[in-house]
Amino acid sequence: MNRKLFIGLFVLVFVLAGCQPASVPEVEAPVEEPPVAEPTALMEEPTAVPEPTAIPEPTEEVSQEPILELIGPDSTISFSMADLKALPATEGMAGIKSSTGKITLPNKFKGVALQDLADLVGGLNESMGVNIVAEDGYSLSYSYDQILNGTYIAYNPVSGDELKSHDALTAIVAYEMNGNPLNVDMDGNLRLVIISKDGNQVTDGHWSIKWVDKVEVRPMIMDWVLAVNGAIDTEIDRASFESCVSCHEATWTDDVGQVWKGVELWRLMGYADDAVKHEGWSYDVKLAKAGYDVRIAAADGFDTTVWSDDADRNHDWVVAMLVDDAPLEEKNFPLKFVGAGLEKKQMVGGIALIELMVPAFEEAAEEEVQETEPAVVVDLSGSAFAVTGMVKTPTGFTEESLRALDVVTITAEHPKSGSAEFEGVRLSDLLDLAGVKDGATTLVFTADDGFSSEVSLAEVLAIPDCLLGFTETPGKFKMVMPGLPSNTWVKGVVSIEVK
Amino acid sequence: MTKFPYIRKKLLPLFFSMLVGMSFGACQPTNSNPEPTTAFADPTPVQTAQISATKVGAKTPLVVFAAGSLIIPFADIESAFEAKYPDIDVRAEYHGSIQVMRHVTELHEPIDIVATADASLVPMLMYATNNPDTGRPYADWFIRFAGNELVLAYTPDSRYVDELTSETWPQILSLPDIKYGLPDPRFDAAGYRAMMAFALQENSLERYDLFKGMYKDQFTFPVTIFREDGLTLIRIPEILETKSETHILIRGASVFLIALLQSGDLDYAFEYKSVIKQHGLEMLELPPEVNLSAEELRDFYKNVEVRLDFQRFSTVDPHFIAEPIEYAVTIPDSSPHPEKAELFIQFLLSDEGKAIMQRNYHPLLASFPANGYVNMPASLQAITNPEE
Repeated sequence: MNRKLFIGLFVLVFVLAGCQPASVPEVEAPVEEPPVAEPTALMEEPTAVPEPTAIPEPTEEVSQEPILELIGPDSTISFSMADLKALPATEGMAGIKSSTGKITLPNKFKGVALQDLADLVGGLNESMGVNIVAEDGYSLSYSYDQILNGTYIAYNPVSGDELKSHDALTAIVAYEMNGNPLNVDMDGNLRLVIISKDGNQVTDGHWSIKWVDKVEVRPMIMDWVLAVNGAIDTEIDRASFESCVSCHEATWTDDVGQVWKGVELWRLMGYADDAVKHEGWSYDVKLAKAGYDVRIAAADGFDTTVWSDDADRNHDWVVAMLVDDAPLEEKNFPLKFVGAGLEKKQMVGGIALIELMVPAFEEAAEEEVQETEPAVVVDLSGSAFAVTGMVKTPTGFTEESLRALDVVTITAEHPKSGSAEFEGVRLSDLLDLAGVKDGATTLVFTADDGFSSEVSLAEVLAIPDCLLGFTETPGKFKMVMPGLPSNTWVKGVVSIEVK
Repeated sequence: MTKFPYIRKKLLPLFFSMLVGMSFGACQPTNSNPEPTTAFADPTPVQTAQISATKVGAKTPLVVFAAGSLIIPFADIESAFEAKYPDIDVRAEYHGSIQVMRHVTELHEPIDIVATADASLVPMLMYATNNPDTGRPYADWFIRFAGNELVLAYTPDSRYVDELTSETWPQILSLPDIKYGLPDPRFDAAGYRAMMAFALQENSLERYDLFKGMYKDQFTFPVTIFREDGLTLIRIPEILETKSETHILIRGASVFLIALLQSGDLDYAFEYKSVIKQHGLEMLELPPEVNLSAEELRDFYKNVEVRLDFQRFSTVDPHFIAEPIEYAVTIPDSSPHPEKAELFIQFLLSDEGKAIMQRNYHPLLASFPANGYVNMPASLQAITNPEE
């Protein structure tokens, strides 16, 4: 380096620096910059990583070899370079800022937008993401928001400063840089880059990935299935289990204050303890009381066995899917059996199967029984309240027997009278005890003055706080139906008929 | 190379960068940090350099891959080393510690020296992977040479700074009107160590609501903490992005948080003590139970683990157990110039090297325990001792 030139540059910089910060990050030129525009010293900077000049390839020899696997939730598509180039192309400028502050100025890239690729395998929603995998196994996931709304941090390519606002940013799988195919030896066939219309911003280097060979479009929440086997074999998927939790949430708090949330074991037993699996509302109390083993097993075979009578309406034994409102960690995912009185070795995590040691249901025999079985006649004359109709066990209750159940106190808003506190028993508990039969859709509440009101069974099941409420008069009850019309808040209710 | 090696290497690019900068956007305000620093994890294959292992003129290139928090002290080490050994041209690259090793073990680049901010990564990654050219592990020894300390960085203008103490910091950081900077734990060791700080404080106080108070409901996919059998597990989701109303700012590297602190866009961020001193920022020193600097608390630290809920690298099981911060150096089996690399390590650990590191607020250890001592070159055995 010529000493005079160096001094001259120093003076020039010194003069111009009056309106500049003390320093700026290292900056790399894009490859289209003429080499003479960059000082040789900069090019010799040890940490600088020059963008390699792309090696042109004849366009008529576009490879038909598969170079990209696009994996969607339900399908996989393999692309050759020709296939990719046949898709709608997206072009723009992309540069990066490394974690040590070094900037590679924007180059022009052309490729296929990640969003367009995702659309080919069913598209994205907010619970999904896109995982980009490179040939060497490196991978990184991009969120729905990043792909659809370009929510990346952008930096001024000259100063390196973070931009308060920036132009639209789009993730693409690029196959061309500056009008030429990528340099296969340096970048692989494909490269993930974040582009914008103009070259006036750069993004974090970790979002830019070379040697891309796989794009996975998938839910970010892992699905799972719980098998419940007994008289019948049934399966409960994640969404169904979540729905069950939303209606019948049960919690248990451990010794370090972590709150485990899920469903009581006995409710899950109801899915398979007999042939009636109707949304889990067919729990067979008598069978449970008579006693059978309930085996709870993890995917790796570790298991524990409890006695059905101990589990019967035991609100402290919970099959939990959340701890402190978060999904369980890897060792316990997706479900863990927890609760009061259980030994540590009984608290099985990673549950895949709940097995009820009851006789298998024989369909033909059941049909025969159904044809010949007379209607169940139960004497409810001594009861102050009864559940009848399409239930396995029409059941009568007194004030005393109701108070022996799980009594709760809630605050609910009456449509006309406003908010008040109510004490009672959850309607879902009563329906569980009676065992709602398949095909039931409606509940009819009847009052002691003959007034009656109908409500959809599904609506009631969706509202965990629906109660049979106590009143100041023992033996007199009222319906507490938060979120439902006032005509369903029946006073002096004496029966619920399931239809 | 030149009679002004330091000026040529370090300042000329800066001057030219400023020229380029002014020609593109003269006089626009900027708050960029004076020097690029700490950046641990990092990037990506885009940064992969194909560095020639051949001689440059009469000089032997010595390729050093080091943790981002060593940028400033190693720049001085490099200059002094080259002055002492003018036939050697040090070529340093700085990345996250995992990324540093990945360049050796997965990208098989000809690298002479690896210096990592997490000593445990050497056996985890380099001992466990064989060099296909020799059939031997990429490393079978390393020297612990420096420590560091996690601190809470702030500025005199940070909100609630008058109330900040080593007891109140978790509550202050969780206040919705402060801006808290978090290095992305998927890319930066400072990120998962910042997560660990809350769990360690909880374990120290036996009060288990601080982590949740800070991080619960702040992310679109939750960051969670779970305790079982005395162990604390923090899980980082595959996609880590904050909800729009959050007061947490995630950035890919801790160095970017320094710039935001300096510009007033952030109130607080966890950083390494050496880096904060190098930048002249304010800091709250944390209790030893939290700052990951005390060897005698190793058993206390190790009950906290951060796990990434995904596989980012094909060869890395992404879980990090809290332990005292220890920097380590080794020579990969694939080093093209192992004898020159020995010279570099000898220099780093010499009195002159110690002085340079001390001057840059990153003091070396009093002695240098070596793992795999019997496998080390004799010249390095002479200046280290077998670890207990």
